Amino acid sequence: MAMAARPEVLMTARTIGDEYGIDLVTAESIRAGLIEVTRHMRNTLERSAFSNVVRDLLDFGVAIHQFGEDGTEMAAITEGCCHFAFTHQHMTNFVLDEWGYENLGPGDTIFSNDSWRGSIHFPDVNLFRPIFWEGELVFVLSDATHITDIGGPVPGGFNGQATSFFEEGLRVPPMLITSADTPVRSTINLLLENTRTPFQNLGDLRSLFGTLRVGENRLVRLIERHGLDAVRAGARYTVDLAERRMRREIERLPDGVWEGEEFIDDDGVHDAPLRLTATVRKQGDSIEIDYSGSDRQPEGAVMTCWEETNRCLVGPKMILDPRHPMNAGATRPFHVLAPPGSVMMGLPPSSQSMHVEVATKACNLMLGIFSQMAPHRAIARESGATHVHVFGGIDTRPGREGLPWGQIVSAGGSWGGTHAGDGISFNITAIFNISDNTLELLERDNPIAVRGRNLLMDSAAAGRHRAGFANALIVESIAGEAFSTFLHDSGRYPRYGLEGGGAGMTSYIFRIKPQPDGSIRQRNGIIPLSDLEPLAGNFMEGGIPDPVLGEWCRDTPYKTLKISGYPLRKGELVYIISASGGAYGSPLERDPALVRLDVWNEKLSPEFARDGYGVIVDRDTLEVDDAATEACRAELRARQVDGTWAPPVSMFKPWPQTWEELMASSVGTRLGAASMAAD
Amino acid sequence: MASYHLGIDVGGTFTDAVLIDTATGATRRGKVQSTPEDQSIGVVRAIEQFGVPLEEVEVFGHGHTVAINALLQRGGAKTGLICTEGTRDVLDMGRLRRPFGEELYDASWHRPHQARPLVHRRYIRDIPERLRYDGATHVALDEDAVRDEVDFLRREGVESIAVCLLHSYANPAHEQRVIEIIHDAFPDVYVVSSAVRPVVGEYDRTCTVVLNAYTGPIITRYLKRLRDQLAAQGYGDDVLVMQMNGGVRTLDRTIEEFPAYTIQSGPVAGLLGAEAYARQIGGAGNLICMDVGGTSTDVGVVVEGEAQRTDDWEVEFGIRLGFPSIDVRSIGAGGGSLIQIDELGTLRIGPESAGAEPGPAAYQRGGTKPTVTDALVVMGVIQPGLFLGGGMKLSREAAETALRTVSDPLAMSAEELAFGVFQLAGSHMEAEISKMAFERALDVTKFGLLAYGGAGPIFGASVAASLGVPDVHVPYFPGGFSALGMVTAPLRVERSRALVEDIDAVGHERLQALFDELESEIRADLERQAVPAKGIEVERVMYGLYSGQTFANRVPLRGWPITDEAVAGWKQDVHEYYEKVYGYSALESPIVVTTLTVVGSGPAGHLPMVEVQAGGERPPDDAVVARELASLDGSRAREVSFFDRPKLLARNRIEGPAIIDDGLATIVVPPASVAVVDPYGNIQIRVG
Repeated sequence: MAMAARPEVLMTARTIGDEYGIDLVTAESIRAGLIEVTRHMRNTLERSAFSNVVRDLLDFGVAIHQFGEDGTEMAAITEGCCHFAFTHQHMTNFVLDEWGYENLGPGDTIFSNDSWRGSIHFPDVNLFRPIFWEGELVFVLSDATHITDIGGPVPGGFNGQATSFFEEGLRVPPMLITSADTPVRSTINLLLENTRTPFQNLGDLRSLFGTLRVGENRLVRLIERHGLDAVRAGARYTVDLAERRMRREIERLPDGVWEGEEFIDDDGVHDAPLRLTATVRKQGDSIEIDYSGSDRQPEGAVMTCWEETNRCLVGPKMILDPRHPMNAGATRPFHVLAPPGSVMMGLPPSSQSMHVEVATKACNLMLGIFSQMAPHRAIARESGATHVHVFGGIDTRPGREGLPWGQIVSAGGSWGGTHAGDGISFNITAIFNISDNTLELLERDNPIAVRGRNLLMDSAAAGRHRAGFANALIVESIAGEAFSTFLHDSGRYPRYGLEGGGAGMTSYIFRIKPQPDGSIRQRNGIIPLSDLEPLAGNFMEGGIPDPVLGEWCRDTPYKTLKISGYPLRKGELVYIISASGGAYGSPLERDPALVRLDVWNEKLSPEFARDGYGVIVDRDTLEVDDAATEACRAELRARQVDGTWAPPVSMFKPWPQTWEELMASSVGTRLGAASMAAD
Repeated sequence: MASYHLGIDVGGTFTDAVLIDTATGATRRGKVQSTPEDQSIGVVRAIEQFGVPLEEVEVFGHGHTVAINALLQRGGAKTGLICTEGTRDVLDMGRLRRPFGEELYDASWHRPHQARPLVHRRYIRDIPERLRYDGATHVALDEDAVRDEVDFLRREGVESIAVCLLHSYANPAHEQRVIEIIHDAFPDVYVVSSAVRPVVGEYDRTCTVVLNAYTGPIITRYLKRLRDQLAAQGYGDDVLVMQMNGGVRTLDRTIEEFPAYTIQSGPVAGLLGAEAYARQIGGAGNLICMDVGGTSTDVGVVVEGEAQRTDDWEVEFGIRLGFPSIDVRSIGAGGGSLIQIDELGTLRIGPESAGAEPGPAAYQRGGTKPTVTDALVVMGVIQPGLFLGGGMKLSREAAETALRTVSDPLAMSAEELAFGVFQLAGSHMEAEISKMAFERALDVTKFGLLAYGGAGPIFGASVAASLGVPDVHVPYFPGGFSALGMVTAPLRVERSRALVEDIDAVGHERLQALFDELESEIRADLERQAVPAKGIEVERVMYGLYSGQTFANRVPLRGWPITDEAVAGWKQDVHEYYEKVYGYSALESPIVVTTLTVVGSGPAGHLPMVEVQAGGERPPDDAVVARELASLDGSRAREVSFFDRPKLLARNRIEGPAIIDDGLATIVVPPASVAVVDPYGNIQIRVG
């Protein structure tokens, strides 16, 4: 019998025994055990939290840090929101180094939300709990969530117009929230009496604390079973394994220097775009990421400080070692330089309130650069914006009159095509990856109605592997006065594709003009222009949206998509379109059967199939005309060589002016009445 | 005329059957190849094996895999979905969720419904209409649009239509009107609406409705065929079909109400067998259940004699059934699971399996990849000469050669790897069990571990030891245990009612009235299925949470009839549940009751009382069929006695290390553990 090729291994049973003093199976059991502890913590937090941000959107993280001579290292995490998997490693060190490990005792829990100590922005609160074994501090557990309100001038904590952190909310340096398991009333009172939603905040703080206790019980059981030395060794092994895997992938790349750039539309205060740039230097098994050359810190709150030295690593993680559980080991091979005073490393008293678009663009900046470094694993850029919107106000519904409300609606964007396949539709950017609400609960608790949440026809960037589809969100205010704040970007520049793939459409915000009877008219995510009033985006004359020929915010009342506190009276509606990611590979190489499947499923019009893919689908039979397709593709290839054709930026064109035009277009008709199989 | 109870469990590869003579308790087992093209053929063949006239069968319990196969292969009914304007992509959005495992950072991962839809987007038709959260009409139903869309679906040739409109749990009027229009325009189509489970939550509810629409026609066709086949053989009585709530329903009622409730009927039945076992042995009735088969391990838990339930059972990530189900979880670790090493040296077992063909390397049927079975052969637990009563010769050399492809790169010996695999597979099982125990706040040291399936009793003692469970139980029939469970399952009906109110505001009189109403519905349903009124047992549950939360916790109502004290007791139980499970409680917080549930069950059957002849502590000499080298704990192999199970007598005591061969299963008694045979032939192992 032929022996299978001998796989090369990083660590053998022998080297594990020598290095860690435990056998391979024990090491793996402890690795799984640590992850399992964080899973239990996650379930606890998700089920026992009070705010929809935690329990429905899953905007949280829970982690275990091992404690050694050099402070702590994050050994295991279960994500809700991915960015905590990158920031909690350094925040735990920031906070505990300053506090002093010698000043901690059993049953102590520390609270902080300070961005300059590694938190993300003030609404993200963090708890840290030392775990003792026989009187010795051995591990630290941490958890974090976004809470509904942290005080400050704007409810909900996203203040797009803040120019200093004093306008962001309550800044809390590390303080004890329990001391020897007794609640510290002064800290709790401070948090409840300076915020708008004390009931939800108290509930979420309790839930965060309970989660740490549940984690502590589980971790102590793991130590009881295997012994402290083995669990410490197993934690070291866990972190080292992630590091070795990452270093090995880096080693396989050629040495060299790469560069890339990304643009944020604006800072919400001034009109100019913000440029992010990075130089990546790779040598051996290590990488330096240098943000020098990025724009200086803006006046507005679109900025980050420490977190972007870590969050950007989600890019290399996705490309180099996506399927291994995240821990601090995966960050060891990277060194990140962030010039103080730049958009990546804002200095006090700036505000990080709108940190989100820096995160999405830094993630995409890395996807762009690492895709150049590892073309065989390339991932085209995603829509590159948060696509999360905040709604709030004072309720006027019977029985709820006068109650303040505020909720986050996550619409999700579109991911780019990859070397392996199409991008996913309806997914929040990779650095957040949070979930969406249950509409029926959202509408029960808040006076809004989500009237549409559909993919937008023809919006996916065209390619051999196309992007996911952009989506169109329609929200109506159904009681009294409400306001909305949009965490939105990618409105100015289309999202470019890779390897000949097409670019994805840009983001938009409109107000909807309802019909005299209050109704609205939509089909396949599209509303006719006669029913729309543009608020921001790329427009041609007459309010016609066009990602390429349009001009940024031409004749619109707002000059940014980052509108804070947009007023919505009863019956008013907004229509928010996310950008599409970029595609991978030439659309002329896409399997015509897959193009037809998208047409058949009413995601793609026969016109875009022809113009974007060179595939001729008969409008009546919905069959591909092979001969015509071949001819069309040959012509487009020739024109591409001449420079008279390139994959068009994805968008439904022409955007219908009237309802009648919409109904007469491909979107309005039921494509092909003939019965047909999906394949 | 003799009288029999018959249980038939159709699995992926085999159809298991048990036949119990009710007069003598004598039980026979049968096994035939399953017939995937029409499972009823295999069922009839399994019955024919016994050579018993069907009119002598008094109870016929049955579980099938028609629906789960259709779901896994996307071979269900061609299904349409009618939904509210603007919600056409609700299934593909899946609340934007991603699993928190290997897929989280993997840009090539797609949500299962996006990658492999149950309902193609073409067949998802959104219609202008809109209700609000309180059931008020926001936009009137556009009936012309409904007619157009139904006509479209008819011309496209769908066989089944799901109807799920926003906020229909609060007001079913629009859905009812849509159904009327469908019945007029398209009378033959199979229709399912939110009426099957009118609860809040549009995504999960749509999944529930769609799963039933997608599998209903297929299950219905199968059950009707089975009914006809059996009628042709002279069987006129009811077939009781295993439901995921742990009860059975008659075949006709299964077709009429919620056929999708039989998607996972086989593994659930094992837990029912476990309930019956718990009744048989007496005591606290706390059992952790572990069924290790060829490709997977199913785990579940019985607390105080009752199999535990979940509301979260899902077909694939995020696609939930939405009905309370017996909580059975599968992990991809069984005898045929492949032992793999990834290129970075991490050892992994499963979920890929060598299957029946080519099977483990030791079978020498062309398999060269190492499996868990090969590891067991190298350990000496499975003896090449004794496998299946000597009916199939295995090769230790082939097993070892296969293991070396993995052990050499790791610089281990094949024996070291074999034991490592044994432990690692065990720790996967243990992790799943401890996760389940954690979520239910159970103290596993107060449980026994019931091990069944061909390989369950191999891992039982080792898993019990690492969990801290003191005793392992191996039932008299470790193989075919699920088929046995089908015979013992009670008829069971469950009804729920949403009620999102502060418990103190509801008042005990109203609670009493609501529970009485649910109970009378339950009783009427069970009586229609021929359960005598006095045989009905009723359980009452309320789901509770702190005001402001959304995750409802299932807390049984212990006091009855309902008084202020009973309500106060339930509130106390809720606070204690929070403290135990979530690490905090909020004593000052109002408690909201979200759902009232009543479960009514008919009398449960009993496991057959096979009484084993009594003997002394020392097993008969001829019970030892071999003495072979084996290593059960990773140390050097030493001589271990192999016992033949049928020769063991009640009260026999066997000290580990030892192995007991059951013909269709292998039982491992590790060093320092002691096995004792009870009067019913069950074996209890006290873990050393």
